[in-house]
Amino acid sequence: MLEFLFWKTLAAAIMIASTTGSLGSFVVWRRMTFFGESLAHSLSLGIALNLLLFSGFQWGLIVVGILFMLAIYGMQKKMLFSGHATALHMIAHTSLAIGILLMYMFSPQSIDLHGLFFGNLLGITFVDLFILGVLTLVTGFFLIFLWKDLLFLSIDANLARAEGVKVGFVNGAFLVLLTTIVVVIIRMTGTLLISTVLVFPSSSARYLAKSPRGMLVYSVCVSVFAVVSGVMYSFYIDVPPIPAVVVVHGVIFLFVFLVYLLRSRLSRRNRQ
Amino acid sequence: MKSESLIHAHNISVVKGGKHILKDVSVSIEKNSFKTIIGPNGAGKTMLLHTLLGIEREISGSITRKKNLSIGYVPQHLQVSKDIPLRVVDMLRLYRRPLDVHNNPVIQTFQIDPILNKQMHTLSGGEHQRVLLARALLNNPELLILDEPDQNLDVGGKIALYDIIRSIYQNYGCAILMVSHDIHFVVSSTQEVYCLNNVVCCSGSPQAVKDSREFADLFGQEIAETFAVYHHSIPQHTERETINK
Repeated sequence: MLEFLFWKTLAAAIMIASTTGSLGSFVVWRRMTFFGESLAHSLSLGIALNLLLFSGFQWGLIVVGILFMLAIYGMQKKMLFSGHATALHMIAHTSLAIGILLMYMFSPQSIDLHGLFFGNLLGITFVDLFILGVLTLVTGFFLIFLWKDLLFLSIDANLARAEGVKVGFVNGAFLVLLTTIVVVIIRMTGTLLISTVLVFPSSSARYLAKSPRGMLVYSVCVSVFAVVSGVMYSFYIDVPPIPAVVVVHGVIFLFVFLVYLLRSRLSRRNRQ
Repeated sequence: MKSESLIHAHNISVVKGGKHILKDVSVSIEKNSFKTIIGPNGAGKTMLLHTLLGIEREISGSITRKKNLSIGYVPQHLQVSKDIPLRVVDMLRLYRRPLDVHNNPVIQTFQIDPILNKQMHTLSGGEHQRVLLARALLNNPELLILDEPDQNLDVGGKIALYDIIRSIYQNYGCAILMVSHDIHFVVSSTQEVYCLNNVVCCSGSPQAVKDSREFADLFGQEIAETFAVYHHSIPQHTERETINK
């Protein structure tokens, strides 16, 4: 039974890691690193609404996710770039606070702060696995077909538009996909650590890669390696998997960064 | 016979935040023409280019483009973020363009071979502009649109860049529309000048524009006069450099 739980968790974690690892590069390139965290905090309101109003299907998450996405899209349209960090923080923390208040006011017995913040990767159902599978496939197709457009858009939106990239469509599709992924995995990874799985792999990959494609590949590799080792570790000594995954990410980042520093120092000395 | 028109913009207006960025601006670019837009900061120069390129769409007025017009564009602030590990070769190949980088005349002419594997964000200002210009030329454009390509370059870099732009104009057979602050270059190389300050305050040959009252009003009498003095000494390359010092 434990073995079954292990494989199920691992499968889910690998799918989460490959989607967030690959899309994470664009999150970093487009300076949207606040996105995951803000959306995750905002979704606390969605989780509260689910508890109070809807039982079963996750309408609360979907509604809050859509509202958040529209807000971001509106901000991007005005600025053409990733939304305002300040505005994002305000939306996120206000929603989080409202969500917590609602839960304490109307349903204090069902509050699960641990689950809210750290997720419940072990409680994954077959439906979850199926949805994750579909999302992974969609992400794959998205990257195959829109890779160049999205890369171009990340480099310079105006130049991309001048050369015929459908900037509005590509950007919209990216936002929808990213929001959907966060909405789906929020209950598995929790709100506190979602931006880690979204941002850390690409940040480490940045120090390894020399080309955009390379960064994406490294990012997925780092991401999958971190979840596999994190999940294995958590089963071995019985701790929640997500913090273990984040620690692995932190160690990888530190290692990669130090190697990078060392190498650039050496090459500078060689040049002198 | 009038030469073929590539882009014709008629009475373009753009309003942002209740303010006219452009008002009733008409611009026409013909085949093989070399035109510049000058004007103070905030005059709407970049906005005008954006409307011609179709980047800015909330406009009134009409724009007629030649069918299947191919445009090469060098934007004003293209700073590749350090977060993106982008080599020069990735930049050149960007967007639906299979490219043999080792046998391409444009890449050879612009001497980009030696820097193909360098990261974009480590390039010097001059190298950066050369890459962007080469990239814009790879499609054999009929029209090249340059938005202040000379900014962030030192004096030597500017002179080198102007030589490149002149040789592009002579060798590639494309029309050029350029925004520049360098009045000296404008007067020595271009055929027609649009003087923009949210409206087109004057336009015509550089000679006619610099003599106009509007030009003096816009840039101040002093600059207009140095411009005039300078104009008489253009033919000699050496003298230009003396004056620059």
